[in-house]
Amino acid sequence: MAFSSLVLAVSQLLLGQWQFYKMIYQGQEMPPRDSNLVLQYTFEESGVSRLKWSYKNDSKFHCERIGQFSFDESNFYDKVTWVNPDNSVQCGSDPDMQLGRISQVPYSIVEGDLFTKIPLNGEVIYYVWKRIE
Amino acid sequence: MKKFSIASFVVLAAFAAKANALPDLPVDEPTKVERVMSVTNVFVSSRMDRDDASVFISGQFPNSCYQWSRATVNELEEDKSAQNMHVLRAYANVSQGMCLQVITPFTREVSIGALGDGQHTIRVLNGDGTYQQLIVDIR
Repeated sequence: MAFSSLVLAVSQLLLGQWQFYKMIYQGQEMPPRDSNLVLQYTFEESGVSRLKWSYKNDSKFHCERIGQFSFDESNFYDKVTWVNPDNSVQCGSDPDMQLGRISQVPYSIVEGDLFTKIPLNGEVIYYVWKRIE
Repeated sequence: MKKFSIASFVVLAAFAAKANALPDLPVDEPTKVERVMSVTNVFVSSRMDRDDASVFISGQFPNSCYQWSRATVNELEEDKSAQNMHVLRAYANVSQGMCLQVITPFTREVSIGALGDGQHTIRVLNGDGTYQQLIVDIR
């Protein structure tokens, strides 16, 4: 009962729209590599997730997909169920934009920010997202 | 100036403390799947001799979810069908999590072992059915 309450609490924390705004690599905080990048992840109460990114200085470029997500206390699992057919051609090379792809992402919510853990050449980089909605 | 230095130190220390306050993320890593990697080049090693032959293979990991796993020589029975044929495969572990679009080159030395005299074919299989091949004469 206590565990399910905890999971429920975590899910409510995860729900909403998040925007990537910094990363942590080798203990150092860094801004996004491209300051024009707008990378957003949305988790809806219905279990639908939406991942999209674009660039402020390039109105033609955008990648977007929808998924079905579930989670436990430490990972969320996201299966891509729809990829925007109007996506830029380059999006297709990204596994996160490929139909049917299932990803398992370790996450944590600390002081209101969403931390996601991403492998990088045997090391780890944390993407940090702030809630925007 | 000194005031500025102390203030700078305090700011830096605060920044460092914040940066080091990483969340307690799970120890469990995302599931990994092993895949045969495509190799773009095969080079003869300077150590190529009949007692301990090896080659260098190189290629690129297409994103950050790929990590070097291992290389095999004549792993399958079918690889041993021809004499003096050495079939190599390079494997990467692919994490099933979020990936960064970072192309990372890799180069590894792969030991083939002892080679007898004669012409040897070293074939590195890619994941898509193509291969790179090198023919060496051992005398």
